[in-house]
Amino acid sequence: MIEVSDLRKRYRKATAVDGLSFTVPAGRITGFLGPNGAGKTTTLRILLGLVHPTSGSATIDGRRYRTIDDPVRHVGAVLEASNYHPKRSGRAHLRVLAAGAGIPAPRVDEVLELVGLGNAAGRRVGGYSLGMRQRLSVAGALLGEPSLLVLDEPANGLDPEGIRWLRDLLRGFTASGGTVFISSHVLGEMQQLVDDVVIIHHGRLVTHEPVDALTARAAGGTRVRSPQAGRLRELLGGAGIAVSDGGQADRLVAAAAPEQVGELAAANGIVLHELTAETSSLEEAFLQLTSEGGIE
Amino acid sequence: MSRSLRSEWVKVVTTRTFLWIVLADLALVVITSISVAASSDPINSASDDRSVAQIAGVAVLFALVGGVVGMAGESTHGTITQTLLVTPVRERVFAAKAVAAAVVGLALAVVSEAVVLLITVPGAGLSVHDARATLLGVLVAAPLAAMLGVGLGAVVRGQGGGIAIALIWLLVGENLMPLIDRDATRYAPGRAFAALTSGTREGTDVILGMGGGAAAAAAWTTVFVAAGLFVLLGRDV
Repeated sequence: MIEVSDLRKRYRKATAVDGLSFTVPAGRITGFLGPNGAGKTTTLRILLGLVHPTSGSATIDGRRYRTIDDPVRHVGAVLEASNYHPKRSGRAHLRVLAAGAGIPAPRVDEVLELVGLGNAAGRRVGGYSLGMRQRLSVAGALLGEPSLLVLDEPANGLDPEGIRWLRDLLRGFTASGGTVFISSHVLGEMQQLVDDVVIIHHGRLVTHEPVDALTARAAGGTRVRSPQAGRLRELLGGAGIAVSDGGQADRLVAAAAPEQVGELAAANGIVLHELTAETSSLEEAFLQLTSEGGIE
Repeated sequence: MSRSLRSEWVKVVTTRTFLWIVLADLALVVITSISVAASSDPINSASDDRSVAQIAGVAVLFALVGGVVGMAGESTHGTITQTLLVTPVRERVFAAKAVAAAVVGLALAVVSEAVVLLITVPGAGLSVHDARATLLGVLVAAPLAAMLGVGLGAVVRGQGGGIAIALIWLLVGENLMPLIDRDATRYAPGRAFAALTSGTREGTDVILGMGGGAAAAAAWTTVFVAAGLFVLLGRDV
């Protein structure tokens, strides 16, 4: 489990992270979202011991990264796709990591095959596409067979097939008990992938909740289809619930929870053919949350 | 520590950077040694023996460059991130780099001396006995210079900048120093390493003796290693 507690990082003139606290439970995929400059990368780098916090802590299973024995065997990380010696081959890059972590050399070829780079293993990384470098980063993260993956924008440079590959890989990883903490700007992909979201803005926590709850809360209404839509509209209006047009005569959208609408309809003998909580996309919810007003 | 050392070794052998450093060193040593052997002037004093043996001293400069590249190259290419993810204890990373650089520096010195001896003993009548102090000095100076380079590389972070700073200091800075303080120039890094490889006990008003040079070179190495470690420990990557 990841625990971030009252974390602050101040640079000379700017505050990157400002009193951030949240936890990432084990066995789930948690998305880490925020606009550019929100402090995501700084937070991840503090978690991984690369950046010194001004105050507060970020721990993995109660320990700072620096104090974890054989960290590569517990935590796999993907940060930037440019952290390579361009003249070194993909295989040689992983051999360097494997030697430092005490991982047997055959594992290098295993992970290269796993990420689809088996045929390019001997080529220099300088000749790799961005997508290939991302796959190599993922291979490096998987090298020690960790139980936690910390990924910063892993989908950058991946084509649609690569994104699908990554999604399947991460789902398989969590299905086998692993935990994923992932930052990405590809919100449509994140909505399909993650269980929970942590959203930050200006270095502060905006929300931390299941993605389904967030998208439902962001929409905040109930879609109704009924042959008695006109009568229901009057009843809802009488109860002080705002009603908007549903696009067709037998449809409407009520600004209330499904339970409230359903009970009102039942109490008045109104037949319902549909009663659905309105959901917004993660992108819409994200934009609402990171705008100045936020979600009510 | 042994894992970090192994990782550093894999880094050395999986790029051509260090191969080019070795080849450049050997090219200079071979050309200079052959020119000495081909010269009509015979070696007829212990001083000449020491001067010829100092050809191998070029290994000290290349060891310095190797140390800078070994450390600063990680920042230049961004690989320091991966290195610290695998080994988050930065003292261990720095120590492994210093040891690896010292080994490479020593290897450069050994190979350079072997080439000098192979060419100049039969070709110019070099006396190994008279040159032994210089040969020993190069064997000590090269690993020290390599470790100094690691410290410098950690401070400056860019390998091109680190090499440029080292060369400008050695070629320009130390030649301007006497204008400010002639006596202090004897203790400057370049002069200290030159004294260490001089093979003479007695110093002059422009260069220390071998013992003084060894002490000054060790002191400079300690200063740069301490500064580099300090910077690496406090740095956000």
